[in-house]
Formats: sequence, C-alpha cells, structure tokens
Amino acid sequence: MENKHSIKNSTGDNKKNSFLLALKRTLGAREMMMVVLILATVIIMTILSPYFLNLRNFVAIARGFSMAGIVAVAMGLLLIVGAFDLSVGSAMALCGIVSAVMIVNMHLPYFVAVLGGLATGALIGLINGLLVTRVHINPLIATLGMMTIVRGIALGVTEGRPVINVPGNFAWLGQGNVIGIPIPFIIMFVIALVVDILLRRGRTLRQLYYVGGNQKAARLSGIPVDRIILLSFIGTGLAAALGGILTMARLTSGIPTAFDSVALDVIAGCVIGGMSMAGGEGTIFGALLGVVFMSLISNAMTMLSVSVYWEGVVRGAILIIAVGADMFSRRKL
Amino acid sequence: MVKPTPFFQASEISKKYPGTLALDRVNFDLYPGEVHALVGENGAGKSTLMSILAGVIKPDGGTLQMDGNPIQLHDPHDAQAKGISIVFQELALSPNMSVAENIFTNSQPVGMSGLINFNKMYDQAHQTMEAFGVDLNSRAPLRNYSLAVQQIVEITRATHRKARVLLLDEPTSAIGQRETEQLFQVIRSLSKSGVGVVYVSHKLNEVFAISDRITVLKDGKWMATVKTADTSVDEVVHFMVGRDLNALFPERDNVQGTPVLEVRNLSGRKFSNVSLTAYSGQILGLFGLTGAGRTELARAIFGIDPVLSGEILLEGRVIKVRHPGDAMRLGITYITEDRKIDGLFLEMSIKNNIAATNLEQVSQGEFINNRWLNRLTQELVERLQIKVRNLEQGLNHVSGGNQQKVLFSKWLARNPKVLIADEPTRGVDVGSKADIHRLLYELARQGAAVVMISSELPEIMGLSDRIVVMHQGHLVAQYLPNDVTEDQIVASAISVMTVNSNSH
Repeated sequence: MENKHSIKNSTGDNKKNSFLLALKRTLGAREMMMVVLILATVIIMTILSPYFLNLRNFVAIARGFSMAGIVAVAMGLLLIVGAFDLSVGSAMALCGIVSAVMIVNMHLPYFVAVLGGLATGALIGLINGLLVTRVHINPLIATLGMMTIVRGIALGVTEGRPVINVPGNFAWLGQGNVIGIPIPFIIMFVIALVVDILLRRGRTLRQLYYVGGNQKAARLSGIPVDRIILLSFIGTGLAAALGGILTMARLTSGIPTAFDSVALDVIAGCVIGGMSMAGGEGTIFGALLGVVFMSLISNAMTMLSVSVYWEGVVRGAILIIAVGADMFSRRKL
Repeated sequence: MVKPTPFFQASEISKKYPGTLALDRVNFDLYPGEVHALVGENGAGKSTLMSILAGVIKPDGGTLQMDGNPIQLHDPHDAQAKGISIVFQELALSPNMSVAENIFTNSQPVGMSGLINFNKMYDQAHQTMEAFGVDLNSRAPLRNYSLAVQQIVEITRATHRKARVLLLDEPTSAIGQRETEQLFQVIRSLSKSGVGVVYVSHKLNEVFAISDRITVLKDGKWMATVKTADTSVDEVVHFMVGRDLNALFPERDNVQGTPVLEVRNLSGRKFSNVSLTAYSGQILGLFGLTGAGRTELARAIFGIDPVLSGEILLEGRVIKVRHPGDAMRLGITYITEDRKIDGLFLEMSIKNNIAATNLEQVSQGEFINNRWLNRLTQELVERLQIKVRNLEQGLNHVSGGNQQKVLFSKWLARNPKVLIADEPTRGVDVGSKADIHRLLYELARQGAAVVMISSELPEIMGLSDRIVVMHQGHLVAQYLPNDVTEDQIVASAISVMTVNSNSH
C-alpha cells in the first residue's frame, strides 16, 4: 500500500513519523528543557539537603502534586483552545464540600457522594463554557466572576467552617497507596497519559489545536468550535472536582477557604511547560512537567527553610524567566 | 516632470536568510515625482526589498543613497525621519479612534496648554483628506469608513510627515475596482507634489495604469527595469516567470452539465431573493463589487450565516445546512477569500493545515494515521505544485501564492461536489494565478460544480461557463461569456438597469 504512491520529493521520504517528529522538534525542545531543569533541581537539592533524596519525600511530593496535576491536564486543554479557567480553585473547594456534606451529613454511599461532587464541577464548567461560547464573555471575566460566585457559595453553605469527620475508609482515596504509589498520583497519571496520547494522535482532541490556532479558520473548516470549547470547560470543571474530592479525602475534611492560588499556579506551570496564552501550542506532558517543576521548587524551598513569605518571589521569577527566555529564543530564529 | 537624476538609490542590495538568498545584488532607484512599480512572483524578494528600503530589516550587502549621500536606516522610525514612509498591506490603524487621531498619531497639534487641540486636529485632517478628494467626517471613528478610505488615511498619515519616498505594499489587495481609482488619484496628486512612490502589486493592469517605470524581480535577482510606456504586459510577465503564459486561461469546451447546486429565492442578512444554479462540469462566475452580497451568499450556503428564507437544493434534494460541518458532509466546500484571517492556520505546518478538513480521511477510528496523512499531503503538494521545503514547514514561512495553494488543497482533498471559491486569486502572483485557474478548470472537468466569486473581470470572462452578477444583495444579471462584453458586466454590477439578458 505504501509503495503504490511513489514519493518523488526526497524531503518527504524520511518523514515517516513526521507528526510526532514535528511535535518533538517544536515542542520537544521545551519538554527537554523542563526535564533538564527538574534533574538539575534534584541534583542540587540532593547536595544541599540530606532529607531531599529519599523515597518518603518523593512520595509526599507526588501526592501533593497530583491534585494540581489533574487540574493541569484539563487546564492544558483549555489553554490549547485559547481559553483558561480561574474558577478551578473555588470549584475544588465547593466540590470537596459537596461530597463531604453528602457523606458526613446525608450519609449517602461514597460513590454517590463522589458523583455529586463531580456533577457540581461539571455544572460549574458548563456555566463557564456557556458564558464564553454563548454569551461571548471573555474567559478572564467569565471565570473570574464564577470564581467569586463559587467561592461565595462554598463559604455560604458552610458558614466558613470546614466540613470535618469524613470517615477514615473514604480517606483511603486520598491517603492510601497501591504498591507504595499514592492513589491520587495513579489517578493523575492515568488521566494524563490517556489525554496526552489522545491529544497527540486522536482526531477528536487534535481539533483543539485548530481551535486555538485560528478560531475563524477552524469554524470554516467544519470543526465544531463552540462545542469543543464548551466541552473543554466541562472537562476542567470535572478535573477540578476530582482534585477537590481527592484533597478532601486526604484531609478528611472539606475546607471552604482552600485552593485560592491553584488556578494561577496551574496556569503558570502549564505556561512554563510550553503552553501559550494565545492557544494552539503545548502538550500535556510539557504542562505536567511545568507543574512538577514548580512543586519541586516549593518543596526545595521548604527543605532549605526559605520563609514562605519569600516563596512567591522565586515562583514569579521562574515564570517570567521561563517565558522570557522562550520569547527571546524565538525572536532570534 | 521626471527630473534627470534619481534622488533615492539602492545599489547591489543583498539579503541572506538561512537556506535562501532573498535578494542578490539588486539595484533600484527612484526619481522625484515618479511612480516606480516593483513586480515579481511571490518569493521574488519584493517584500524583502521594501522592508530594507523602509528600514525594517538591514541588508547584508549593498548601499542606500539619498541625494547622493550614503545613508543607513536603523529602524522604520529612522527611515521616516529621513523622509521614507511605508504603508504595509496590513493596515496599522486604530479603528475605534477618530479619522483625525489616526492621521495625527504621535503628531497631534497642541495648544498653548500643551494639550491636544482637537478642533484644530479635526480641521486639519478634514482639509488633508479633502485635498485628496475624500470628503469625510474626521471626528467619526475610522471603522465607519471603507477599507479604501482607511488605506488613504494610512497614506495620509505617512505623507504628512514630509515623506519624500512613499512605499506602498499591495495597496489594492483588499479593495474594489472603483475604490482603486480613488486611491490612484491620491497617488497621482502625491507624485505631482514631488513624492517618489514605490508601488508593489500583483495586479499588472494597475501597475500599467499608475506607474512610470517597472522593475521586475525574480528569485531575488533584478531582471529588468523598463519604462511603462515602452513595454507590454506580456513582456513584464515574461520577465517575472521566465516563461510565456500565452494560454492564460484554459480553453472552454461547453460542457452541458446537470444541476448540482440550486439556490431558490434565498435571502440572508445581506442578500435577498437570490436564485441560481450551478451545473456539474461548469464554472459559474459570480461577479459584483465588494459589498454586493456575494460572500454573504456563499457563507449562507456553507452554513456559516443563517438563511432567512428560501431553499438550497443539492442534486435535486432540499438540504438544511446549519453549520459548515453539515455542508462539508454533503460535499459542499467553501474556500474563503481571506486566507490569513479565516482560511489557514499560519502557525502550523502544511500537513496540519491539510489535516484540518480531512481528519476523518486520515484516521483509523479515533487515531490519526501519520502515514496516510503524509501521503495525502505529498499527493496534494505534487498535484498543486506547492513549493515547500518539507511537509513540516510552517505556513508563515511560505509565500502568498503557495499559501493560497495550501488553502485550495485542504479543500480539494475532500473531492467536493460543489466548490465555492471566494476571490481565489487575490494577492497571488501571476504564476500561481495560472496554476489556480487551471485547477478550477480541471476540477470542473472532473464533474464538480465550481462557483467562482471574483472581482477581477479577466478572470470572470476567461474562466466562467456562465456569469451571474450581484448588486446590493440582488442577483441582477446572468450572461454567457461569449454574449457579453466587460463593459456590460460592469454596468450591471454598478446599477440595476440590466435584467436577465440571457435566460439560461
């Protein structure tokens, strides 16, 4: 079948896997940079702190990073279509609370409680998506508004107090391990792997790049632009709910004031990992590496007893340096 | 009027880019009051030369001279200070601000207080525009005016800074024929006042109408500089492509097709009660001025804009098209008029652009098969003779003519029953233009119904099997190309006098 079409142009010949090659060439560079940075951080930290390179610490980092990782996968999809969601932190808090209330106060079965939390997240995502695609509100404004509203609901229904006393066997979801690997990490890993592969090779998720690349052209190419943006928002709402429920399980309580910096932290991680606010570029793998790197830096600063008050300076500087370096290298080309 | 010595000279200009020599020791000069046209195929180096003359990029070799003195241009601002202004194809205006503010960006007249004297600015703007024969309200936001007026505003802004050299890059690519004449008046009045104008355009008829001399570039090399009065279109084309395009249009062979696409009493936002039929094996030419409702009609058929009343039939059956995806599944394709705004994904590779409309074709179930995609892309690249380094090349590094071919190929790969091409050769060099014409012709010969929307009469006359004309949202005339003159078509496009002279 291959040989039936003789390829005259020699340039096309050695480009068998060119879709992947193209990804490697254009986006792989950033991913390589992230891997190098992560390794460098690990090596430097191993030298500086005796407590860093040890399984316990790594398991702790992995567990802590998993919830943000799940959100980052979805936020990555949104960034690719050219949008983003500031309400994920509020959604995590509210969805955790909804599940916690269903377990603690309503004594519903765990899976019903989880579904309740997920449905809440999906609803938040749906509203965000409708505001953006139907009412044509800019994602910044729409999700900023929703962020405030959802946070308000979380605080309102709990009167600002955490929902505590979630049973220990539910906590297994957040605290437990399977063959030594934290369960949230396994969930995050599976989601990220599937989404990453579908985004690289699947024709449904491939459409996201077209929407982010040129929305008008995508629409004229027959790509259901609005539906894709809407579904990306719903996916983000679901991911936030999952992250919120897992954290609730881990802490055995739903905390209405938690996660206030998650949205910006995750967006920063995604951008460091190669996503663009303009849309159309980046991979889930890269985005996750960005989030991992930021978690490592946080952990490293804790290890080195850097005051938490100063942590923001480092995180902000990393974001600006990473994106600035990228802009600089592009201009040179 | 032309003085004996050029005042602005570029000698032996070279510019290297990785892999290509964009300009190879090119010479160019300009007399005061002269319109000097710069022509060549896409990729010939016109844009590079313009950018060097405007100080946007620096040459790797060669010198620029003004009044006999060598000059260095550090950036566009520096060039402006030395009297050289450029108006790019993409206008750099603020549509929400007033006409006057657009003209006086950074040079607003100030009063005693140091604040902007708005009344003075509005008056001055009005006077300047009036001098060009354009009467408008200089307080109104610029977006209220047509592209042609905006173009003139941009030129006005460039020249009121005492420009001696005005560089115009494809100034008419987005405006209609009548508006072009308005622009020409402005250019003529500028050249009368001594400004030297460099005019880059693909439209040779315009070049011959406005220019005093023509310089031809090909593959980064200087080919010829000729006096417009002493040359012919054929000679210039020959310099440009290095071959004769004698058979500019393929021969017509009166195919009697069957009706494929029928539109009955269709009304939409900017057109009403339009009925027409496109036959298999034929090209239907749809002529009209910009704003006549042609694009809107096409968008409604393709499901982008809503249909208010009337019906669309495909192969005799009434169809409902709610969005482009519906139209595509039925075999209808629409090639948009502006490849940059809504046609292509410029940041992406050629291959991924083609994949955009053909994901189904190159996928096994949910998964994209790279081998199939590569093969499809390779076939299209060869069929359309698209000049690219490789299939991964980003589209923004490809010339306009080749971009247009990529735009075509992403739709051709779907083997459409109906192909609506909106201004298929806008901003495309003569070589690519002939390729695209041949392509439309072949597509029709293979049985597709082609609808070609165009504002270029030669194209309409040369390629169409039947011609329909729209004016202010109405279909005002239908012709067979052999029974009609260019004048008659234009007459029906600008007034409603003519009614169906031919009932076919």
